[in-house]
Formats: sequence, structure tokens, C-alpha cells
Amino acid sequence: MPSQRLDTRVREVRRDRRMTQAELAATVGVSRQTIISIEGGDYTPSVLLALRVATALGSSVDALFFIALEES
Amino acid sequence: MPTTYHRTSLLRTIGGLDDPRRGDERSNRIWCEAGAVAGQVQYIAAIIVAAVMAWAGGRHGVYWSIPVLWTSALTNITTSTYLARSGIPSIAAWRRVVSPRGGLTLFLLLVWAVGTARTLGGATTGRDLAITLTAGLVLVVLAATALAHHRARNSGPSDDDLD
Repeated sequence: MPSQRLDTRVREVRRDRRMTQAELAATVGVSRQTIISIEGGDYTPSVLLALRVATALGSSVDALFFIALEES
Repeated sequence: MPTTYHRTSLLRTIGGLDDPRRGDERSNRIWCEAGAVAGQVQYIAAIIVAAVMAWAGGRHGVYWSIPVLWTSALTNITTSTYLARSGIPSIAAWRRVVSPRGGLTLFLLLVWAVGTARTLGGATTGRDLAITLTAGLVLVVLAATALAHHRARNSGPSDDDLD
């Protein structure tokens, strides 16, 4: 049965907006390390933080985060 | 109506869960993970210290191992209290044994109990006798827990029952 994991397009959208990780972190109010972890899929943000990231990037949560299926 | 947050506010303060110096939510989460790991390490270490005291510290080692054990039990008591106030059912004692951590804890308690019985064997004072009986009681509880676990595992539904 395939397992589910959260995948993200934050990095792609951020680059499209020509923002650095530090700039996005400052706008959202988190550390740059947190942005790195979110982009790398190492950290699943809360709904509140996901909304703040989406707002900062002028995007939506469902455009930035989605469920990826992978064979376990 | 009190929320889970209000029911656990004192414990949250003790744990420093809302300390702004912990940084953003990811950083705070890692602080919480670190605290959970540290609590378990301290718990296991305290039981090891108590077992060593019971085996190598003579009668006084046994006496002082008991408050050490009670202090280590605070980890479990606090965890259970926090879970209860958050409306999360705790795990039945016999099911905890299934995990490697639970098995290690029981094994260390067994080492402590045997060490206590050995050190205070042939007890001459009422205090020694009481402690020896306590160690015996721990052994009985450990045996009963293991038996309950064994029975529960063997009394589960077979695959045929699930058809």
C-alpha cells in the first residue's frame, strides 16, 4: 500500500517570486532554517504557518503543499 | 468551558512550552522533542542508578535508592497527568511492556528488586523487612504484568474471527 507524504512547491514558487530564503523567513516571521526544512520536506508546517507562507508568496496553501504517494 | 490549553496551562508553564525564546514553531517542536527524549533518558538513568545503589551500596544504598525510584516515577506520573488533561487515553501498563523501552524499564526494575532482596536478605529490622517486602511486591507486579501481557496477546481474535 502506498504511503503518503507531504510534498511542497515552496522552493519553486519562491524562486519565481525572486525571493531569497532569508527574505521569505523575515516576511513570515520564522528562521531561515525553518524555511529550508519546509522546502526540503523535513518539516510539516502548521496550518497557520502554511497560510502565512502562502500569503507571503502570493499563492495558496493547496498550490504550495500537496500529498505525494510513494510505494513503501 | 476550560480548553485543553487551560487544563494544562500550569504544566505548560513548568515545561516552558510557550517560552518565546524557543523561537518559531519548528524550533519549539524540536525543543519539545528534545525534552521528551531527555525525560526518558533521565528516567532510565535514575532506575539504573537505583539498581546500582541496591546492588553495590549496601543497606544504605537500598534505602536511598527508593527516593531515587520515586523521583524517576515523576516522569511517568507527569506524562499521564498531561495526557489525561488533554483528553488522550494513556497506554495500558501491560501494552507498554511491548516496546523496547518498556521492556528495558521492567528489566531494570527487576535488577533493582533482586538487588534489594539480595542486599537485605535475612532482614533483621522492621524497616529492612518492609523494603524487602516492597521489592518482593515489585517482583510480583512485574510477573503479573508479564502474565497479563502474555494472556492478552494469546487471546486476540484469530484471522478466522475477522472474516
